[in-house]
Amino acid sequence: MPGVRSAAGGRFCPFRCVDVARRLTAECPHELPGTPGLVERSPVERGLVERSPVERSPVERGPVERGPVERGPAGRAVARRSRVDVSGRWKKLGLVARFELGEALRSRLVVVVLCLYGAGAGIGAFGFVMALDAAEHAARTTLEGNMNAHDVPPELVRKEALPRLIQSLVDDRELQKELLEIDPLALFYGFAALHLVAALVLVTSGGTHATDLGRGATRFVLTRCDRLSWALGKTLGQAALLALGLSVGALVTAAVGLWQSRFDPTTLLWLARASSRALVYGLAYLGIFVGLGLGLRSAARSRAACVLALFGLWLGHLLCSAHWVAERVPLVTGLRWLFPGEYQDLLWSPSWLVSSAAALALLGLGALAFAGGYASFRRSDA
Amino acid sequence: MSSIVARALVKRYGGVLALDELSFEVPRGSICAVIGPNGCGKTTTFGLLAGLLAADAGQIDLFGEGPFDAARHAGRVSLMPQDALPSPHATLRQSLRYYGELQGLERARAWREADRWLEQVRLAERADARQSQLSHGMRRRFSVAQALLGEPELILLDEPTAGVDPELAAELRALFRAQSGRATLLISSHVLSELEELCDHAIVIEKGRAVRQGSMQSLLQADTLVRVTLSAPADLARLAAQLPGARFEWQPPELRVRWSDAAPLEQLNARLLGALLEQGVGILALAAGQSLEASYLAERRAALGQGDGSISRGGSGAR
Repeated sequence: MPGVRSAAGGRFCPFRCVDVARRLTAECPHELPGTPGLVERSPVERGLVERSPVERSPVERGPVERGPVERGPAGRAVARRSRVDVSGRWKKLGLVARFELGEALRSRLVVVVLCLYGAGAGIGAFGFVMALDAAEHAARTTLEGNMNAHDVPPELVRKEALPRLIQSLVDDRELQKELLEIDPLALFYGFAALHLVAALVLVTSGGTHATDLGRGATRFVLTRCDRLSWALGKTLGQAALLALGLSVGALVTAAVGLWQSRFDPTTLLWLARASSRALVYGLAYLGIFVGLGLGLRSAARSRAACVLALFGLWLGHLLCSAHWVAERVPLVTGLRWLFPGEYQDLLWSPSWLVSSAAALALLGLGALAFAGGYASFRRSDA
Repeated sequence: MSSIVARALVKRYGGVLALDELSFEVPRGSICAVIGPNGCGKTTTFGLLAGLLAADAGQIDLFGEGPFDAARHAGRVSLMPQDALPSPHATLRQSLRYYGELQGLERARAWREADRWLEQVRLAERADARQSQLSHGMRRRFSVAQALLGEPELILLDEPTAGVDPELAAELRALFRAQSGRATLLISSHVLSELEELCDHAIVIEKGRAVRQGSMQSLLQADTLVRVTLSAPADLARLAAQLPGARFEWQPPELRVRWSDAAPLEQLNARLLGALLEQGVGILALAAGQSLEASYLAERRAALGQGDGSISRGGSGAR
């Protein structure tokens, strides 16, 4: 087995026993058969070579150089791998994500939660349509009185009725104007989904990574794929589950709209946009919960931490954006950008620049939390 | 060529030293037993080899390619963990297909392999059952199936027959034996008779150190020790005079004969039996070497006798 040639022309030990300073010389305990100038030593000698504490430190695990192409006993090619096998990783990522989604959908808890979410969306949409009807009725009565007419056009009624509802949801006058452009049903669903999605993620995905680590399921998987593929694939599976849940809610809302004659083809488009906003917002929480799970590696602790995080993020954002806090501690207001809640309203902005920036910031928060958890998991025992 | 070379592995769990400069080698294609008391570091060793645990110091070399790396070794190294539960909602078939595909098998082959191994471990009838619907023994069988899936080159089996009925344990041993030569197997078990029957190499671990390692034959002293069960005590002085290359020890009803003579064992045995027959002593049984259990217990007694638990290292006695 030839050694791996270094850039400097020296030969490194293919066992990568120590750092690059340990060249393939007579000092190396891994003699290479047929290498001139090296003494063939017995396994006893090699096994019992004493090394200094400096030599024994951490380097041992980290592969720096890769061995040459050779064949295993089963004739299997052992390929030289100087770079990450990207296509292989993507394939494994897809396999893990697919299995994770399937596993989630096989779970009764998740199915029940999704059904409840869908039913909640349906009931909420129905209630919203009723409220909208009532607001329209009130607007019609007012308009009929003001205009002294008996047949007020429905478009005019709707134009008058919707702002009343929006005023009850949003304080910001600018945003109120912007929201008026959106299909009412999608507006309702978008708001409802944005406010519920964090809890939905908590129930369906909080602690799933930690559960696998705790029960040892990862020990069946991590000899077959690398840790990043597993952690990321599992997260993608959960993201797909979230997208599925939000889609179910949107479709049920659309069905209610169809039933109540408040549906036109653009409603579906608006619902898709509303679901996408909720998905992006939910992904931030998914990243945070997954990061906690990877860091804590215990199902019970992870779930508790997720609940605390959800509450803490809500409370933290509330405090950082409160006027009375800003007056006393101005610096704290800058911290509000660290909370997903800060981006909730920005996602509705009709400006693509603002809403995209908000979406990117949310994804960044999620990715940051995931990366933090993964950094801990990568080094730790599975 | 060795499948595994481990050097000076150190692993700590907080303040507890689990592995204390553990060094060993496992020849390629061998079936190697890992023997030791509870808490000696067997499971930790398996975890380190499979890349699940990170060593505090030391080095591992699998197939001469460095430590476990999923990109290189996925599908070539498999582990049957001791106390691990797979995904709870997937059926056995779905789980095995997933593992097969994940380790790089083509989809069709992964599906075939899954069914084949479920059949092999007698779980075909429960292929569509979930993990939660299985008994402990069935879970062990599933665990064996996933470890053997896709013909890995190195198979790490942590107490594979624990909690399995005797009939299936025998079948599993036959399955493991069938892998000999094609794959390297590392098996830990507390059933020493099972390991003695199955393995051709052994590593004895004591307090995180390899105190003895090498071929099973050398561990059992099968090439130097003969145990003869006699109907009555023999005249040892006369035997010693007749067979100068041997040392005799009478442990009723066994006569233990240690040969220092380099002649083949069958010739030495012929001389021994001739001498015993001359004395008119009834020979009830004859066995080469000592049992693994006796060897292991003697090792343990020697270790405990030294008080501090330190045992002179056998080093790599591999032959």
